[in-house]
Amino acid sequence: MNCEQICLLIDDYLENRLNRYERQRLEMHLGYCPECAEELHNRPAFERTMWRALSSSVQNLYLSPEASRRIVREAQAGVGRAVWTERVVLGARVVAGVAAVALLFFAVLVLTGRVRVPVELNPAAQPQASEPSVSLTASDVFVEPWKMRPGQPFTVTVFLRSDLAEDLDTVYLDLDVDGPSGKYRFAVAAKGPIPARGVSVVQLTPDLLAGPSWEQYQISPSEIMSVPGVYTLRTVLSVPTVPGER
Amino acid sequence: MEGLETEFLIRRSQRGDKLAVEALIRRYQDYVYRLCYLVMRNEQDAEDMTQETFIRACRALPRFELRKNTSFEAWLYRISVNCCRSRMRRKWYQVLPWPEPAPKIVAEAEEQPERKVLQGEHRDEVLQAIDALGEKHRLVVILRYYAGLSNEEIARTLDIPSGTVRSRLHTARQRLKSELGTQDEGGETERVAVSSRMAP
Repeated sequence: MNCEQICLLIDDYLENRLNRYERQRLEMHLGYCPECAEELHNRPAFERTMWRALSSSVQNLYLSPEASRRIVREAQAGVGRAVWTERVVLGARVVAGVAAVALLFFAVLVLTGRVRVPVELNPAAQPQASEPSVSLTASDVFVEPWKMRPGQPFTVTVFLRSDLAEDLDTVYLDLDVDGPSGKYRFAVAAKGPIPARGVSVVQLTPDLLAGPSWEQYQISPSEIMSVPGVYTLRTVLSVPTVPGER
Repeated sequence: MEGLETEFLIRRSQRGDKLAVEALIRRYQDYVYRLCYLVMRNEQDAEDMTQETFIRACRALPRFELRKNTSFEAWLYRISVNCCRSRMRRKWYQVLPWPEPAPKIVAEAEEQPERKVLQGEHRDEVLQAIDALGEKHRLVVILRYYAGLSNEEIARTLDIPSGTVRSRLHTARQRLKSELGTQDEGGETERVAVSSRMAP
């Protein structure tokens, strides 16, 4: 450290604001530099001189009572306004926070499918340029007779492609069963872009059939067809036990 | 509310208690007024700046945080100095000469021998030397030696690095010593202390 650097640190030294390293360096310098040691010694006297000169020049100055009253009046009005402003700002912050949390919660509900967004507000569900339709993605499903055993259930999977941008009134799924006479039980499950929760499938024809039959299901599109994509419908068929085959 | 703690008054004022606001202003009005006077060197401007200071302070008071290391006085001085600086920037400002010492000071000084050196002529020399420093050095000298702020507090008040504060104070000290040393070759006790660095 040179003398100028030491002079810059003398105030901090006197106020005990130096760290141990700086203090040691400064004290080492003071040990061999009489000028800086004298500067340190004279600094308090210099400060006193300055303080006395400055304070004595203003020590008889007092704010006039009239000015004091005016300042108090103005400040009291100001603080009243400031306190109310602060309260309003605080209230607004709380409301904004609650609204943000509610919005976040609503967004989570929408993303998880618990709340449906109106089609007008859902850009992903806007009408497509092409003709919207619901169609089978594969041709008819055939189950080979040798795979069928009496009383054994098997699953038929049907894929429906939906180009619909909005809900349909009704989607009908027709199943033609051309098999042995007996009892068929159709338990339909659905899966699609929106999790198939609470799919409503109404069986229009009774499941107790005999011989080749035609089965029709009414699927509530409000539950599953609201977003374009491929939907999977699974029906579990039980091959009837034909009397005489046992 | 005269004898109440400043912290208590601040807390009550932050809740909008007008009596506490009044007590707080009465407690600090003369300190702020004197500081403004030292910076502005004009009683009317100092009064205006005192009013501006308290209005700004009261507006910001609800957001003032009472902590261990925060000083209300330093905060108030900071507002005062900023008010004065913005006023000085707004208009052409003529620095007036220091007023004649009031008779009361002489009477007090007579009772206290250690103050004798600051009477009349010598005090004016010191004040004129401070005047000659220029605004940026004069401000740090006033804040340091009159308001008693630390270098860090001055740095926050003037919005400059604390190293700059140290440097400005060092320069100001050198100039003051040079000025006072050349004005007087003789040696009163305090003057020897001031000028010894220049004439070892």
